[in-house]
Amino acid sequence: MKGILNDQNLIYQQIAQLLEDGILRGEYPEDSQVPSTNELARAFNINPATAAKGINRLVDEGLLYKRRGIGMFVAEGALKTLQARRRKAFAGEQVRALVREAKRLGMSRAELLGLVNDESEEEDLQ
Amino acid sequence: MTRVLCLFRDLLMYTVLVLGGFTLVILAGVRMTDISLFVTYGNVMSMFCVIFPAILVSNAWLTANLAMSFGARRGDCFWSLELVGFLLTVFFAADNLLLTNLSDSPEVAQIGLETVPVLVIPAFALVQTILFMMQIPKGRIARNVVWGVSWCLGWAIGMAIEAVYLLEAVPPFFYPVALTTPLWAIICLIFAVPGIVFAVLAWRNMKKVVVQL
Amino acid sequence: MSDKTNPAGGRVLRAEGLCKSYGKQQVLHDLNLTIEPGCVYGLIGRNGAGKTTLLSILTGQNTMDSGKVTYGGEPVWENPKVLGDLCFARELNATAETAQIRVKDYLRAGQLFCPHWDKDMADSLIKKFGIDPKKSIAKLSKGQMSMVTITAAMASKAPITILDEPAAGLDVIMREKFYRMLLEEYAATGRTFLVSTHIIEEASGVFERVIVLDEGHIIADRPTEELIDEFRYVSGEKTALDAALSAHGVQPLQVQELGAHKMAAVRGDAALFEALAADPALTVAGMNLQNVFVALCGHGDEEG
Repeated sequence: MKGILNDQNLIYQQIAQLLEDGILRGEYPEDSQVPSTNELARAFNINPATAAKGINRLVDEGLLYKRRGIGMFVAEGALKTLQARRRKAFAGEQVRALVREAKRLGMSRAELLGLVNDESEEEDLQ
Repeated sequence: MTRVLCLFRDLLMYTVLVLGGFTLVILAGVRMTDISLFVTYGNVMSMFCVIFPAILVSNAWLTANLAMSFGARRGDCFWSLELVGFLLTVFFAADNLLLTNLSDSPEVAQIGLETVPVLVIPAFALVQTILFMMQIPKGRIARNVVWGVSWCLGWAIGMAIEAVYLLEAVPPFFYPVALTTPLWAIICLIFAVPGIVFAVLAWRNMKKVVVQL
Repeated sequence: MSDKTNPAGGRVLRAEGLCKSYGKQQVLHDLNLTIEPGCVYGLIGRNGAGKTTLLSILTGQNTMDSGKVTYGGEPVWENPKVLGDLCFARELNATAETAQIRVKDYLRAGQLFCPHWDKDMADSLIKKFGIDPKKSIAKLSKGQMSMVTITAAMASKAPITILDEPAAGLDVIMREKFYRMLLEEYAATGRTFLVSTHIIEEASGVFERVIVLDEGHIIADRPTEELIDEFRYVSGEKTALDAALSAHGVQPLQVQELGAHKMAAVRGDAALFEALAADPALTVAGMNLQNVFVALCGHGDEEG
């Protein structure tokens, strides 16, 4: 197992995450084909069953669908669904971590919000 | 079983070729030169006859283990080893017979057909001993004792046969070297009885042998 | 894989109630094990855990004191019908015996006794690995011995192929290559592989299921990722961690203290880990297979 996969998270979850990230970044638009189980297995030197488990999770969630004999494709509305779900996780995890770290660093709420504002400016976030 | 024998084929062919070549060289040497070394070798053949089949079977044991490590059956390996041991014993006896009788030299003792059983019985008994011994785990004293004792007895009988043929003034009860002579019959019995016991034990142990490389 | 017809034809290799002693020392304790067709298994355990003994008994090459081993319902012991479907590629070492076996003799034996043997594959692998087939096995480097083991295993094309410590002596690049080859062969044929190893790092992604053998007991036998998911490192300030662990009734498998900070390896379920993660004083982190292995089998020799 190598490449960009890490050691601390389950591999099938990382495979699912990897494909989700691809969809979010626009690398796999709706109705486009995503890498197959065997391609993923070969790319990361992992058991095809594990790669399949990652893909199947996205199929179960309605993000991917199977075209018989061809492969796996991004479902309609996958991007929207993912964004909505990640937003929830974003509030729950990333923002909490951000606030906790600010607290440990002795920052005030105003300081933190100021930093967020500055960064949003830089990234052109509307 | 044929597959196990296939694996032994190289060993057998090699032995037959080397033995054949050796015999031809000795024969040529004895018949065409005066070099005493050839005569000496012509005469020690009886000793080789008794010892060598067992030594070669100990090599074949390793081959049998190799076969078993790839799934050959223990029974097939055992009977193949017995067959190979028997064939080698016969080869060596036949070779000895031919060599001494074709050498056409008064200095090389000619082994008679009646002597063949006296060579073959101890040789094949030693083969059984080896088959038994190879199954005793390495490092056990019993293994070394069994091998040491049979090795010495093997050399002794080989040398004794040579001596009887070559020396003058040997007491008459040594003659002829054949099973019909009580002395040799007893000696052969001394080999045959433990040989049979070892064969039975070897077969029994073989049924549960642990494959080792 | 479900969409592949596997060459074992659905036959299962099964050990039931397996016990084995060497003299007074019992090395396998009442083991039960099922090797399903079409799966890559990892057998992990420390040196001396009984891995080789177990594998040699599974293939009828070693005796057992009690229990039985069957393949497709038929006993394995001395059964030529069954043995042709099983290949046990041994770990090779430099011994008086292997000094007398050349690589080509070894492979020839494989060719004679493995009914599915692929000679072209054996020849090309030996060539690819740069091994001189005329050399005796004992004269090879440890890495090359492993390559011979791997060659025999791959070329056997046996529906159930067992490799004993094929990673021993291989450097990290060769290990990666070996696992790649294994997975490609698996994807192409659906053969079942059972690989024993104590070098776990690169292997965890390869093994669909993992069997952990510890002092002759199977202490885990399940899908690799499910096993890993049962373990976490929980760390935090010492008293806070101790309080949280005892509040949940958790006995840590391994602990490490650094000043006021403490880290514990914990086994549990998703609910427990969620509860622990909700505690702002604690950090919960995932483990890899190697961590799990150490947490499970590292008993008895913790540093003082």
